[in-house]
Amino acid sequence: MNKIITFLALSTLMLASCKRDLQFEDPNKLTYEEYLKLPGAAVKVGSGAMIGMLNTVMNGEFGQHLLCLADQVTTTNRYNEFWDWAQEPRMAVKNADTYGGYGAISSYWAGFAQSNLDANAILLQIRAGEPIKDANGNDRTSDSKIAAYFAKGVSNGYLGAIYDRGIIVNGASADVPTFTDYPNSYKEMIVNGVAYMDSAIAAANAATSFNFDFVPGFTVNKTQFIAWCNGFAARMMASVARDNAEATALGASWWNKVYDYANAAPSTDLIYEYANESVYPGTLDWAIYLLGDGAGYLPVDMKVAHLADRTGTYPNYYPAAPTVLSPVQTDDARFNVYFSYTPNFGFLRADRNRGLFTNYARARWDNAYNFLAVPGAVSPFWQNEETALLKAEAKLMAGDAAAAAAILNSPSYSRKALGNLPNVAANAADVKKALHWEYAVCIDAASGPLPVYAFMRRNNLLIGGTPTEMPVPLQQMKVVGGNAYTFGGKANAGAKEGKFNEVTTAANVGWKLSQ
Amino acid sequence: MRKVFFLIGLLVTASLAFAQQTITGRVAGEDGTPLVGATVAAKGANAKTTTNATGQFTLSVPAGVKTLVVSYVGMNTMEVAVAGNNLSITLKSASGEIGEVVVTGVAQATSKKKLTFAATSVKGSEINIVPQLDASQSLRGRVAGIQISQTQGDRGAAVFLRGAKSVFGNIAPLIVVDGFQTSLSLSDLNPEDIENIEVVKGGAGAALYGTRAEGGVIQVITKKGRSTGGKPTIVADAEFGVNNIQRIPELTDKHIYKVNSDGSFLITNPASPFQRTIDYQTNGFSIKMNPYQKTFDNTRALLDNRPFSNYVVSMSDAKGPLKYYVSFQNQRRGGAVSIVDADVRNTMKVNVGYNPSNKIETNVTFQYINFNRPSDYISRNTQGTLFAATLQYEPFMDLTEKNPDGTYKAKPTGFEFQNANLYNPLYEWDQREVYSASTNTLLGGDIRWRFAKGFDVFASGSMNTETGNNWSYYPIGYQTITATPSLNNGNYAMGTSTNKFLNGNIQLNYSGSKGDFEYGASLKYIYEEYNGESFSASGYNLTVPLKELAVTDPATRSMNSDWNKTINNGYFLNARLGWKNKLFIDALGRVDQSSRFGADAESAFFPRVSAAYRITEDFKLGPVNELKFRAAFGRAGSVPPYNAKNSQTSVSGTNISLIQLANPGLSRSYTDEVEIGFDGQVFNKLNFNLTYAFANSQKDFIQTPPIQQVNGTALIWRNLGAVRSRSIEAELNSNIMNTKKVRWNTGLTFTLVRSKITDLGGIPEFTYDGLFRKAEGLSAYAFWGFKVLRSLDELQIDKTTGFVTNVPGNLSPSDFTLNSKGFVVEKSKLGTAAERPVFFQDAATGNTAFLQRGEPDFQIGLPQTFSFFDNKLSLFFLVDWKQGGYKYNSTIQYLTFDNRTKLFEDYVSGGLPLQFIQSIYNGNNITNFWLEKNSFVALRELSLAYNLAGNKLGMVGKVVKNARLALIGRNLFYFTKYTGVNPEGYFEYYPYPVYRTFSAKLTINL
Repeated sequence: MNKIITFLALSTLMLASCKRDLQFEDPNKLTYEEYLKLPGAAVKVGSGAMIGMLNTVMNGEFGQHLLCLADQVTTTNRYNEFWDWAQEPRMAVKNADTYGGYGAISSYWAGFAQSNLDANAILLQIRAGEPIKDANGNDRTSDSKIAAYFAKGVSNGYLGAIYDRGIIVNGASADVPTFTDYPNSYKEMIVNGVAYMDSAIAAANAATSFNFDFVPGFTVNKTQFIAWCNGFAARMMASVARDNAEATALGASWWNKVYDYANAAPSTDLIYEYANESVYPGTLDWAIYLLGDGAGYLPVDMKVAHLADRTGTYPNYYPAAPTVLSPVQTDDARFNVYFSYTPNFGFLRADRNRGLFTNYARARWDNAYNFLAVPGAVSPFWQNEETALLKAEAKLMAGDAAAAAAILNSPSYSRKALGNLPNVAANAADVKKALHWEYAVCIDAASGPLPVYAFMRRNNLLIGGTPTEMPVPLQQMKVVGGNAYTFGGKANAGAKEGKFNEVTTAANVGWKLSQ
Repeated sequence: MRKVFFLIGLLVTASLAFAQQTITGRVAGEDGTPLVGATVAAKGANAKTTTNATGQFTLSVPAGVKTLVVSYVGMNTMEVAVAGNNLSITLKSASGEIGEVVVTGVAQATSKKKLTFAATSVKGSEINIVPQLDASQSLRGRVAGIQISQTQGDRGAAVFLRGAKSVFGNIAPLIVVDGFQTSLSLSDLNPEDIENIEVVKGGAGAALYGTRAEGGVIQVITKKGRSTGGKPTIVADAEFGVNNIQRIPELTDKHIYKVNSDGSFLITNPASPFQRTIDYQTNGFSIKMNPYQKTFDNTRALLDNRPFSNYVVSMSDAKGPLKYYVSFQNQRRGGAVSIVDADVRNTMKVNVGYNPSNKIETNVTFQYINFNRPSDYISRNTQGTLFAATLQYEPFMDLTEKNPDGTYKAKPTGFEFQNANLYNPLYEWDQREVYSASTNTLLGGDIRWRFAKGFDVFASGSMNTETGNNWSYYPIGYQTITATPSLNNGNYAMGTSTNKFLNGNIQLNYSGSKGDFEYGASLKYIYEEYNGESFSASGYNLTVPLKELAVTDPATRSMNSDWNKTINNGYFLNARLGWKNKLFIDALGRVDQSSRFGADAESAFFPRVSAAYRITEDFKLGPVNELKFRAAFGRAGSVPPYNAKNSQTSVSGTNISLIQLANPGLSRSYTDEVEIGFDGQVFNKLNFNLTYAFANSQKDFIQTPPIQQVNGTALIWRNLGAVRSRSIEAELNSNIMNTKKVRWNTGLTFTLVRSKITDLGGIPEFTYDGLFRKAEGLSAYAFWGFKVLRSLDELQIDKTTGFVTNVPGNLSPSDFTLNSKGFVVEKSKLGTAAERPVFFQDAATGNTAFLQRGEPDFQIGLPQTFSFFDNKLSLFFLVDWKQGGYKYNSTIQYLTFDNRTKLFEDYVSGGLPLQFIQSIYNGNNITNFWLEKNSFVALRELSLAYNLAGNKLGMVGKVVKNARLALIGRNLFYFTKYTGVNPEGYFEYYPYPVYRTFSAKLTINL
């Protein structure tokens, strides 16, 4: 018994002297809540919402996939499964989280969702009556609110433009009820997005002071900012329709609204100069990259040269070996400035599909570095050409082909000013053809992949079998307990299988017939 | 005076009645090392004592006592006749496994006879017959329940015990070195410093280590000082050899292009002078393959016979209370790649023991490991792996081609033909400079004080510091295949890291006995503190050719730093009870606390209850001379990653983004494991252990995918998921033959492991690492991916429509057939340009499916030692057999995409269209066709040694006690059908090949 007592006494003494406090805070990491208490933190959240949104609009390597579907980019490269998306005949979207190209489906979903929620955090703070101040104590509530509206607007609108469905989340996550499917249609998402663009415009107009410094490397004044908002609103509204019938059915009032926004959109380019820790203009950066032999890493699809051809002889599918096509004969002075010819084929592989070959790479927006993510490199956040194209198309869709042609024939517009092209005839067919060419030659990969893809979609120009929208990413469908699904594939061309009765796979009436 | 006489008379009478004799002596081990604390008892009398710090004892015994019983933990108990004083008693190590002593998983050293759970000991003398390059591979084939796989030739092997303890697979075991819990890995240690390795696989043994040991425990016990008769023992060891590659993927020496009559490529359009034309046959899609006009073996130009050397010298001695062991090692691993310098490892080991009295024992250990490893950059090359480049280059190009100035060409002649995005590794490693080194030090000490009868207190402390330094330098003017602004005008990147691990323990022990009972208790407190710091920076556009950040363009610079700290406290109380040396019960409770948790989850409890019964103490079982049954239950756990409980934010100078949500209730994962087994011995020579273990792992750490539109992309760590694993283990070893001419020691280990995910906590199934599916009912190593159908039986038919439902299109079973290569294809497309393999389709899974279980069916190890002519000549070999299991062969998949494999040649020669092969390539997506069974039988180790006694060495023998010359082979050969570079592991993509080594080793004992 004595020994037991001794043992216990010594034990107690030993342990009593050893206890250490473990509840110390990690001095190297601040929690999100701790960050938000720091001076100027909320302003940085707004910056995060803006930069995150623009990074997703300019989606980097995963922006190429929609450009492949729009036949602006061709490739046989399987990195990120680019080839799957350029390949003809078109295949159904592989909506598996193990698929190498899954990022092409999931990256927009994640990027815009995060931007929307960051913007919500700002708006909730403002709604709660808490001013947003920068690190110097300056009140930035008004600027932050404007930025948050803008980020929310674009995020919601783009989700609707790319996916078939979504969910509108305007408040705290706790407000959202349990659900097993995403309830809002693509159109509702876009309408919600445009409403927030209206809010951004209204807030900017009402602001007594304006300082939009949320995106390093990009400076806009109040007028430019409002124009930018209008431009995005026009782009998003124009991107609702999944085929031409739906675009037509939207009616004149819709397209007049598009015109109104486009008419207020930027009339000059909004240029971004690359800055560290800011936006990466990824889609364009990947698309301009040249290989040592002069070919593009993600070269220009045959479609562009085919549309440029004024002889009617340039093929729309690359011929078999040993043919190497000569430079295309075109009357558009811009073509040989914006694109470069090479007889070399870079990384294109004949054993995969020689029909996907091309002799053209991009020259516009390229620089001495062959790289847009270096300090000093410039790229467009908005091109004035798109403003004109949206206006012209809106007029056309509203039934005024003459007005549409007049916009394209304006001496100040690049078609005349730089392209030296003859006037477009004032009829719907010619205007539509001209618009197709203008999107291909001017817009291309700038401003992200959506504009060209959405234009071709609403005008039935996509190759038959091309998916007209993306399914909700597999993992995100499963996480709510829903069922996975997909779109596209030659066998499904023209399918109208959407949840909202929309066309989900392009009919075989596109700019060229499916292989 | 009368009283005095009376007293003297009384004493004399008493002394006659209780006549005593005093016996003195010294007890030592076989190597002469004094044994401290050995028990010396008079047989048949109630007198006993223990030896002091120098092994001496003095014992008074009744006059009639004629025999002493001498015992010591880990030694055979010996009866010694009392014949005079100054007895010199040498105890022998307990022979056979059943007599060994284990110190891992137990509070105090315990004989295996009394051990209540499974533990395996491997002696240093066994693993050093063929010492591995590092200790991570030393246990191959010698321990049941262990899985060792080396997937990169320049890196240590991954070591796991038993089955998966996590949804994500196995958890690495805790490595303990001489009782110190460190951050060292087995691959840090010099095998020749190892005295013994103990492996405790189950939860019962691991419970002692709480949240550090969910993956089990491996303890390395290093060599200590010994006396061999007054002079220090010096062992010098020199090994020289050569490494070379065992396996290279089978490549084709043909191409698919048209050729001229001289075999050169046919160019049909002068406008594109490098545009080759595919040589289609008359059907328009089958290909004629033509041999290259000339070929170069570019792979062999890089992978060559490379030198290997290893020098070790050690000195040890024990004199009086002092004993010491000192060793130095210099090892140069040439690896297998000729274009970078050899990896060089220098180690130093010092162990000093000082026992000033029989009540106090002290030990101090110091270990220094410096590893300079240029190969590090080879296997983490940013431009893709070196082997990818050499294997993919078409062999008509000569990568060794040089410019007039003697430098390698960045683009060898003919580059434009293939025009692949491949760099020439000879150019890169000729131009680029790199440095990668790490230094590990361990300083530890312990003291045991026997302060009262039955009581002792043991305290230890250690500090383990690991520093890493690396840099990489691209010179100005560095050429790349495509313009790369971050490299072409020079690039410099550097990084440093320091990790410190402090460990302190204090333990109070009590042991005693009464009648048939022996009992003991231990109480321990453990303190662990981990501090980590790292810094890295890089920049490009150098203004001058210097390896300095200051000369990089400020606009291109980036830097990162990190700091972290974790403190763990542990307490345990262990009680032990033995009865009649045949029934043993052990109970343990450990409480762990860690700073990685919130206040509510700070503490956790880890119990153990175990018992053993020596059946042969009560029952005679014929040839079974020892049989013990044991049963044990224990719990061990893991802590989550650093900072998992708090929210985390990505912060840059311009913006903030939430990347992790907080979960202050996050607690430990843990595994409850039950094991039962038998340890025994048959015919006094065959030792065996049989164990069945069942583990249930719960509350795993999973970062759950959020509903992004609602919660954003920030992830959250949760305690979810459960895994069950079962294992059956058997270890046999025996001295089958023991004559003067021939001795044969044989061993066998058998391992069967199965694991299954039983619960995912309600979250959807997901795929981890793009490879393994995490779903209830599947193994933790269940391959998941796309699937080409190889049997018509795989077609699933809708009974209503008659259509096949699991492939695209509305087709009937009769629309399909098997083609010449055994693929299901559409019958109408067979033999046409449109012939393609049919892929499994299921919209619910994105057309992916379960492919195979990756774990092997079983593993067997067969270490065999023969010695001839009184041990003059000895032969050792180790065979390692892995049966079943799968490995994903991305190496061959990717090479086939580049038309470089024999498989490609075979398929093309069979007339299949190119796009058929591109379809089975299927990008780099995981596809069942590339999943290969990786069963193998490997000849791991082979040694033929000649031992020469000093007295046969003439004059040299006056200095040299003995010498040993051995011819050694490591990783000699795999017998396998697996077609990749290395059949080990689950996945490969151009790995650094695991190489074999042939060497000669001379060991001199001075």
